[in-house]
Amino acid sequence: MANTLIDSLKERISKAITVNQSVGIVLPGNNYSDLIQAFFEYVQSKPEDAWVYVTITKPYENIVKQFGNISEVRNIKFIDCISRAAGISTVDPNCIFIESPTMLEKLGLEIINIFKEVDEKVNKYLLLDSLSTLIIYNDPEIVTEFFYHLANKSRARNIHTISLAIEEEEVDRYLNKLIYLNDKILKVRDSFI
Amino acid sequence: MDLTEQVENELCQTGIEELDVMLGGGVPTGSTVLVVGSSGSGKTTLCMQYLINGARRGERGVFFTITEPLFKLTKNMEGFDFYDKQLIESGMVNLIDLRIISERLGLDTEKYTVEDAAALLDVLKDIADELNVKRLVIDSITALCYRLQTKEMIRDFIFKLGSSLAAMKCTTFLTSEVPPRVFQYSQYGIEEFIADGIIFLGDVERKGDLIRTFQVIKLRGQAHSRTKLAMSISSRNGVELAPLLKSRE
Amino acid sequence: MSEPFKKIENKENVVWITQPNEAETLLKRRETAFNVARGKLIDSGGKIETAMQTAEAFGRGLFEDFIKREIENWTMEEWIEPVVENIFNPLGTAATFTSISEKEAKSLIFRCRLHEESNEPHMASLFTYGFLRGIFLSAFPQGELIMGSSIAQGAPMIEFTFKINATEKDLFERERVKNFYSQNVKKIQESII
Repeated sequence: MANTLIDSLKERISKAITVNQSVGIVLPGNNYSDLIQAFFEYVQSKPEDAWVYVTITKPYENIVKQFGNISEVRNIKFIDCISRAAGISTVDPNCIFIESPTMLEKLGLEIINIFKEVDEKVNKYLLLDSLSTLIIYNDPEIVTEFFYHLANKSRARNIHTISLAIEEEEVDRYLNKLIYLNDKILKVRDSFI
Repeated sequence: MDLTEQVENELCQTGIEELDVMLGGGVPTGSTVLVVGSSGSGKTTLCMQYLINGARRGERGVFFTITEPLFKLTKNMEGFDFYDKQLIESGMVNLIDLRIISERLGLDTEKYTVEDAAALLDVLKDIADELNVKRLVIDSITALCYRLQTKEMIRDFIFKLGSSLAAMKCTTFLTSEVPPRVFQYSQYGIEEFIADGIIFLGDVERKGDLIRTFQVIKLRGQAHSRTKLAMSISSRNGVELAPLLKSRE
Repeated sequence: MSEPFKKIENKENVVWITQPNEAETLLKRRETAFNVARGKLIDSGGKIETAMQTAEAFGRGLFEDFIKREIENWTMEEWIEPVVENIFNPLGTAATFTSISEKEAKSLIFRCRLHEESNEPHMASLFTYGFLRGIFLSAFPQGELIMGSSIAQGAPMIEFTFKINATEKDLFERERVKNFYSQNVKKIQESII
């Protein structure tokens, strides 16, 4: 059952980001691990593409522990916005650590800096994990402003973005507004096909 | 001379991409720009990066330091990827300790007379002329002005320095030290009127974090952006500028 | 001594982020208690109640040893601070505390050593719920711990809401959690084997 879900997710992600410049994925918390696994499998299947994974949700070292060899995958670089704030002092050449999830300008700069070193002809993708956790640490208005800036910069540089929003029981009105700034929305359900 | 060449001659590019965009292409050649900020705001790094970038374009530069001894200055700069020792060794970027020059001239370390100021000015002009520099930095003009006894002397000194360097088509950055969190451009209230441009390095507090900010306050003869930007200083890229998120203000 | 947590203030909320600094003695103590709870689950043929009681007792013990003060009426902040300093941080737990009010607080655990080391997500989630409940109810006997999403269910974080005064609905929470793990006892047993 899990493999069907993961394969389906991979297919939907692939179709969505090929056609659309920005994709928002709304998912229940319980499907998070499946989605991330699908995403990493997809990234590994396309070594010619360049990926940046921004994590505000889990520390980089936890992602690496959970998904094994992802730190050795050449076409993905990480930006970790949570470890340093939690006093976790991991160092890894494949990951840039930002001091706090509130340093949004710095985050924007680091994203663009990574992509500046990628050849123009290479397909560029950014995964933002997640808008929900960004809103935990920042005022929603500032997250919206940040997201607009990021969207504009990404468009100008032909970077496709995927933003995650994790659903909770209480609907966050800001999160709803934010996620719909994307060109395409995917909603993940357990009975997802 | 085609238009691009003409623009290149008329404008001195800092080499910091976002800054040159803000400045409408660069600083008008021959201008004197005040780089204002409190201690640790990034004035020295910005100025050094300006010189190094110029040297890479074949424009010789000189960095006059008064506040920091040379060995400390170079030690701090070595941490940055943009800092190229070869450019220093080849003489494309010259680092000169103004206190040593003052000593050799026999000037009082605390107070300059009118004659002292004139002598120092001549030395600075001679060095710039001899080395054929196109970019010059004094770090800091505040420390120099401290030694000039009156406001008239300060005004006279900066004006004559600026004029001479402008005639040599030398674009000058003068660092100006101000107290933190105070929106003023100099200690003596004169420098900013003489200077052709003012760049202000400040900071804002957001959720306990101090975010560096960057703003071009004025630049004579050039249409420029007055937006306040967020500034980051990294060992990899030196000074970097990004839009400052303002929803909190 | 460094602060036990990093404080981030925004308009809607104050967020506290724990600063893990693992302490060998406490980690060993938890490991022992976890093994006992696991052992009891196996010996009882999958009785969740036994495992939960063991975890709660462990929590009460931690409260006695590390948190107890001469305080008649605890406040939420008075409780959170020593819990973070003396239990979360030494256990290497990275979490945020948000929506802190006089009556309740929310915690999102984004790094849990127990989950990483045991590789038994259901057992680890059950145990974490139990021992946190034990610590909380020791200070707030009229309160309740509400469990939201969990890593066991695939979510990126374990979500807890601490309520000083349980509502009628909240009083059924322990049963609800027990039922959830009873339904998943097979998963627990499989992961143990």
